[in-house]
Amino acid sequence: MFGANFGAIRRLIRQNGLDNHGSFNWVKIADFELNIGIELQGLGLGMILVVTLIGFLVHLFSLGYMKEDAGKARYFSGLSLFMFSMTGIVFADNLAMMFIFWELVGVSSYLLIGHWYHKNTAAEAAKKAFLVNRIGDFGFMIGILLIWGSFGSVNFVEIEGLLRNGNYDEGLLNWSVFCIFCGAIGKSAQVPLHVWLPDAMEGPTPVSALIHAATMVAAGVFMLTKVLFLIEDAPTAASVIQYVGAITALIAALMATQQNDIKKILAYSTLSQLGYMIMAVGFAGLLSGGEALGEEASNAGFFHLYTHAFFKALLFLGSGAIIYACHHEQNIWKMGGLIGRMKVTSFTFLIATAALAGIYPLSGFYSKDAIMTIAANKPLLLVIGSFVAFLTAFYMTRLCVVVFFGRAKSWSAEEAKEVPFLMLVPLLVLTVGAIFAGQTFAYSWFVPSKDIPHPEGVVLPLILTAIAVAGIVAGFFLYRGRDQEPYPVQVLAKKFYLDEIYNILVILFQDAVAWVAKMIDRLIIDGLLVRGGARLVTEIGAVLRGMQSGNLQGYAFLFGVGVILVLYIINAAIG
Amino acid sequence: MIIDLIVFIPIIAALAIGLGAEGRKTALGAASANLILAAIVISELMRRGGDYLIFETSRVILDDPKLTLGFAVDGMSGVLLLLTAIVTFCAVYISPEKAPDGRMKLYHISPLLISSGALGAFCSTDLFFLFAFHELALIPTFLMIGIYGHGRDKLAVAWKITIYLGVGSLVLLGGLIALYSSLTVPGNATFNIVELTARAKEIDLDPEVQKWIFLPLFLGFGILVSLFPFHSWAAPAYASAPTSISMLHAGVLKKFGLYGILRVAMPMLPKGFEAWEGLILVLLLGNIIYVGLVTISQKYLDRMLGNSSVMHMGYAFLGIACVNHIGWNGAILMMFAHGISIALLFALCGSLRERLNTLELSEIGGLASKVPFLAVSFGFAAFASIGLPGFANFASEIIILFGAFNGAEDIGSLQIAAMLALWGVVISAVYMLRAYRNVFQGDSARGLTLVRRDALSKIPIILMIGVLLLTGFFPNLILRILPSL
Amino acid sequence: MTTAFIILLLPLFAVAANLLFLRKRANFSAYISTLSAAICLVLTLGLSDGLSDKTV
Repeated sequence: MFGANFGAIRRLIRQNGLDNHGSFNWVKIADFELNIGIELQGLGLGMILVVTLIGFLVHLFSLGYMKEDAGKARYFSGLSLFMFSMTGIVFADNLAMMFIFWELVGVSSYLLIGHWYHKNTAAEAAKKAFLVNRIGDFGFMIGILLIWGSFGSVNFVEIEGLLRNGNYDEGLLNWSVFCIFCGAIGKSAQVPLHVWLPDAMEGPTPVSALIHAATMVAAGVFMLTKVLFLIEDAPTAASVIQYVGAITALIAALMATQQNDIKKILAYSTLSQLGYMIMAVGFAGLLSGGEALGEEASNAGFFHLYTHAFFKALLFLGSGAIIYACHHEQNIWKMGGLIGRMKVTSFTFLIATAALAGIYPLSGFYSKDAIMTIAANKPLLLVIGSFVAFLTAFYMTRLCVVVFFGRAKSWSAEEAKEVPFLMLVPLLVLTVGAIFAGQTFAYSWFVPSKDIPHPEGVVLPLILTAIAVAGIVAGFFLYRGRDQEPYPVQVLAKKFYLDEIYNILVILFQDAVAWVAKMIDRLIIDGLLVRGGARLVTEIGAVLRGMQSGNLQGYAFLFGVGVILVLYIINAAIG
Repeated sequence: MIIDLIVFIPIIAALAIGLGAEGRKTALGAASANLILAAIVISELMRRGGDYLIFETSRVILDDPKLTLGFAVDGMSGVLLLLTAIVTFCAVYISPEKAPDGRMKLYHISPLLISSGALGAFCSTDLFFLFAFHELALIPTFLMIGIYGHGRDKLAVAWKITIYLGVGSLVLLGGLIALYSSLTVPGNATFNIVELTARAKEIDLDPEVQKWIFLPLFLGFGILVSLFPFHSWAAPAYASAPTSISMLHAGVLKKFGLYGILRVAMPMLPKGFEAWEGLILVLLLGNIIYVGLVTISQKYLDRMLGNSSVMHMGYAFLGIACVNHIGWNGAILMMFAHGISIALLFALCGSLRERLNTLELSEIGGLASKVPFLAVSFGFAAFASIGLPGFANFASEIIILFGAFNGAEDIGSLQIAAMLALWGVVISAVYMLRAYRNVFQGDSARGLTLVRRDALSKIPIILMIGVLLLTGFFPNLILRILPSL
Repeated sequence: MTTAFIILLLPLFAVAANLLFLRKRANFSAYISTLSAAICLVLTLGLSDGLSDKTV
């Protein structure tokens, strides 16, 4: 009986959903229109599942994690605002709408990162996230405007049609794609706009799991898949995308090896994996045998987005559980021996790690294979990608060895115990995803298996597995039984000093230029023009000031006189 | 008849106060009446569409040249009328009962006169009265800043704004006279705007003539809108003025110049605009980028808001420079959105001023938990003004940008200007978020005075936020009553 | 209103509800948001079921 009812509900939803190209007219000026419309197919289906599923699980986890928080209502409002905004990005059928929700996601992120706004570090992190994203949005909007100018439309389906007709300027198209990509650089935290993501860890950990691992940061990748047809015809821009992705993957992985905060390690790992996805999608514009790689490459990138969402969210929620259990300790060198005390959390965390490292037959194995198969088109990028795979396995093993094995290195680790069941449920559900998301049945409902690149033969998978194992072994032996970081590498630990460089640049540029502007304002415009002129008027004014008694009738009288005078002058001028 | 009421009710109320009626109550009554009347006008516009002139009245004053005291409303005037009514209501509402020196007449008369002046200017069908009503609105501004302003240099600020706007008005007057005389046919002289526009299209003045009449008109109007480089009067004035005056001037009166350009200069002198397009683009970029950077370097909240209001005028000029229906409609929407949001910001700033011993950004902090309603409202206002989707300001900005790139298959000077203007979104985010973070977030509540002043007037704040959200989610509400230009 | 629009707008209503009505009871806010997320998930599962027949 229950099954029959459920089937009826399903049928009702299905019927309604099939007509889902609904549209709402937002702006209309004569024949100019901007609409809020819904387009949902293919990769969009996969994306909306990721958003709603992981979104729901994070809500559930938050019920436990944020139970004692004073700003609980504000937090959940922020989460709901985020869900609204992110859904808008997934559903968008045109660039303008996507931009609208793009910005809304940015403000949701600002509110959630800055949830504990009385903490100076959190307030600064929220501001930084929003500002860096705005810079990306600036580029994004320019790209949108260029497309609008060239094609007279911002609707995806329409633009694709117009593109096929062939009359557009290719140079301009490359610039347009590059500018649109700037939005992805900001949102998906690619180099050089990556600096906001590690700081974003100031927000509550469930937020990091949802926004800064699975969904918001993935929006950049998803957006690129939506404009796939533009990338296919813009090979120069596509190249830039490939390299930005690869460089980000490499730099972030290097920095991850030296981080000591559990969330920061995961944040840099996310940056690195996002680099993989971006790099893969960039290959869509690579010409191979006269034809652009197109959909195959973009599907590979999305495939990794899909699997990564599960195991990365799991890693973050797991770290949330650990942080919760260790009384908000986040330094891995103050943990240790947790595998005995938090069995479920440890178990799920280790599975997620294995998935991230790309161990067969977990989900990450398949998606990483797809990425590398695509990357093989450019040997340099394949090498970089493989090295990153080694580093990934290495730094994650480092994390696991230090946190779960050995002896507890602090009181809070000794006292840690498993988190309540409410918080374990999401972990377990995500584990299922982390294990099975790479299997055909898990993804073929939104993208057929033949459209995803699979490696030919076993050579590539074997090499990648060997690399992963090597990374695990290296991490294990280097960090087993250690009490503190045995091999500090300053350059990496200081994140290549990029933050410091940015701060200096920002201060130098902004304040200096602003100071110059103010001086010019004061000296030239005020000083010469106004004060010079004012001196003259002040003399006259001294006479007039005698009349300034605040007497309104007097002023009305003078005004009337003035009016009559003007009338007279005009009349005289004409007549 | 209804427009006559709207324009003259505030004057009558002002007279009543002068004769002894109770200040704030009378003013509030007048403002509320106007709000209702404005709503009626808008609903009529929604019914008929914005292309037509409705509620037209006229009283002939002179026959030759034809001078009439006449009013009418089309979509553009109607939107600005609504803006004025809303801001006047809110400005009067947040005014205290008595001025700091215990007297109250001038304190409540001034906003009413400014309101009348603006309303008369926006609805006037006659070129002469367009100018005259605006001048009416300027006098109370000077008085209020000079007498009731904040800061030790308030007299200097009052004189500065007097000089600037006085010179601007003179330049404008010169342009208007030149325009009038070039369009005059002996025996059929008129100041009526509709007739003059028709005549201008018919005669199609020589481009050189258009060019040199356009210049003083544009500069005159522009100075009144704080166009770069004639902007430095604005920020000190708004910082020094009593809150209700800042709200009315920045929110409403400044839009007069933009209205004048769209109503008079552009339709009658299109070739004049073309001649100066390059210069205009440079100047509006000066507003956005130069003044934007100046805003970042401000140390005081009120100065910062004043400069930010100057900065955003650049976008309106960009919309005008598009010379297409998209850009112009976007510019009008921006006038509305910006007017409400800057009035809101100044209202909140005024509330903060009453509760803090200073507005220096580095001296205050951590206030969110102490004044939660202010913190949330200021958050809304800040994000509205930096163009977050959901608020009317974003809608207007994106429309203007799309207007600039409409049909642009190559990149010309207008498109380059638009791309540079886009930096404004980064600049404004920088100063707004920085200010917000400094004032409301952080770990130590600093700068609060111990004495709590009067209870916060929440109604105008909620009204203004509500209007921004409503027109942000549904910009078509405003757009459909705008005339197809 | 199509299912997709419901998935889009329901969280927005949750925000409005949280802000306007439930500020006093924080627990309610949490449940409203979580419920909204749950409903959206169910709708998505139903939707995907129907639409995937089209793509595959």
